Amino acid sequence: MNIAQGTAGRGQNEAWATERLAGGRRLETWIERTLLAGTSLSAALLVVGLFLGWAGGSGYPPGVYPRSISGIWAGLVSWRAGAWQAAGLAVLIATPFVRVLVAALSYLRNEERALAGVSLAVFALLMIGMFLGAAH
Amino acid sequence: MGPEISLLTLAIAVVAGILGSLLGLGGGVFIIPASTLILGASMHEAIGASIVSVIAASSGAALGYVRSGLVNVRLGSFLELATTSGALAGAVAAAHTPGRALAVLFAVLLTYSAYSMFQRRDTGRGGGGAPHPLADRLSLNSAYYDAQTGRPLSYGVANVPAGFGVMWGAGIVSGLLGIGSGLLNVLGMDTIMRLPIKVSTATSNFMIGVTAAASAGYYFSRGLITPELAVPVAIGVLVGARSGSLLMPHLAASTLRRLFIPVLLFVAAAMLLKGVQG
Repeated sequence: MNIAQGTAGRGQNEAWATERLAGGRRLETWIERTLLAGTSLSAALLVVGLFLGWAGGSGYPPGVYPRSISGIWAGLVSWRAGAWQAAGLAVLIATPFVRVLVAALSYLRNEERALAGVSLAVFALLMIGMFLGAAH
Repeated sequence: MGPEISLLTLAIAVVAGILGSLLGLGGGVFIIPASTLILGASMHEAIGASIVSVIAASSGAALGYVRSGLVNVRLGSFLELATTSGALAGAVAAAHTPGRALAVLFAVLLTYSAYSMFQRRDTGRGGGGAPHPLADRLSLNSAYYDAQTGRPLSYGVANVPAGFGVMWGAGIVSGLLGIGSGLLNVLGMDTIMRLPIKVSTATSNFMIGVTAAASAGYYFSRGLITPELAVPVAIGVLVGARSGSLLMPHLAASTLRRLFIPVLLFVAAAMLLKGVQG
């Protein structure tokens, strides 16, 4: 099943490549769906927020935007631009977190313990980084 | 910020998204100078927008690259462990490290990389290194459909432990110097793991959103993001990255390398300046 030694990287093993591309794409499909959902939802929220902002300002004091889920929700239902923008940014930021979890679940399902463990460790490191503010 | 400035920001962000998605850099390299020099934003506002732009470029482009098979998802998952743990270690160590000396050292390294890439400017595919046993065990070797030749291409992943180490170093340097890790990711995958350049840039794109998301989550929750700048940047980069990801499969690999070299030199110059001026 693996690439014959020495021919790898030169694109000579076309049969192997075809087989690889045909099978086992479930992981990729779920990751695609996650990315599509995250980017589409955030783009929609951001565009609405941008237009609302042009029409009537952010609806919050300068430099302030809602950060809690309840605060964002309250602003969304009252059509305040700042809340729509914050919601779009929050969904955008959450997408990679969800994507890592989706990958971990896919590996678990395939009983690939090593990669599942790696993805879960990455998720844990991300959470630590976010709370410490240390990753940047 | 009025509609005029937002539209200008959008236009700049679209270009940054296209370039970032083609080169695997995420666009922060372009957003920070454009925001401060053209749009008159403060460095603080620019950094927040830049982190958001990295996520937008990563997710927007990865969507297309995963679909076309250019992202090696399994390798990306594996290497994310190196970049995220490296970035955390780098950020923690930042207070105790001579940042200026490091910036100069880094400028030298990037200049050398630009030279080495220039020498290999016409080679499209990976160097053809033999797959590492670990790549076999974790099933990291993969294939993609090459739109240029119209044929499926297989490739092996060489030097996995060394590559993992370089990625960890890339994470540390990005944590220490606050520069995007995309550039180093591409160099590591291209020169050490011998992946085809398209796979290197696509997989780097896929990975960079993850480390950026941790920083962005922190910035967002503390109210440190400036939506007036970050929102048009995010929209523009999403559009640009999506477009770039549709364009990339049809570009020649040598074109990508030629685009990459001036960016390397630009970042090297910026790092040298940072090292000299402090």
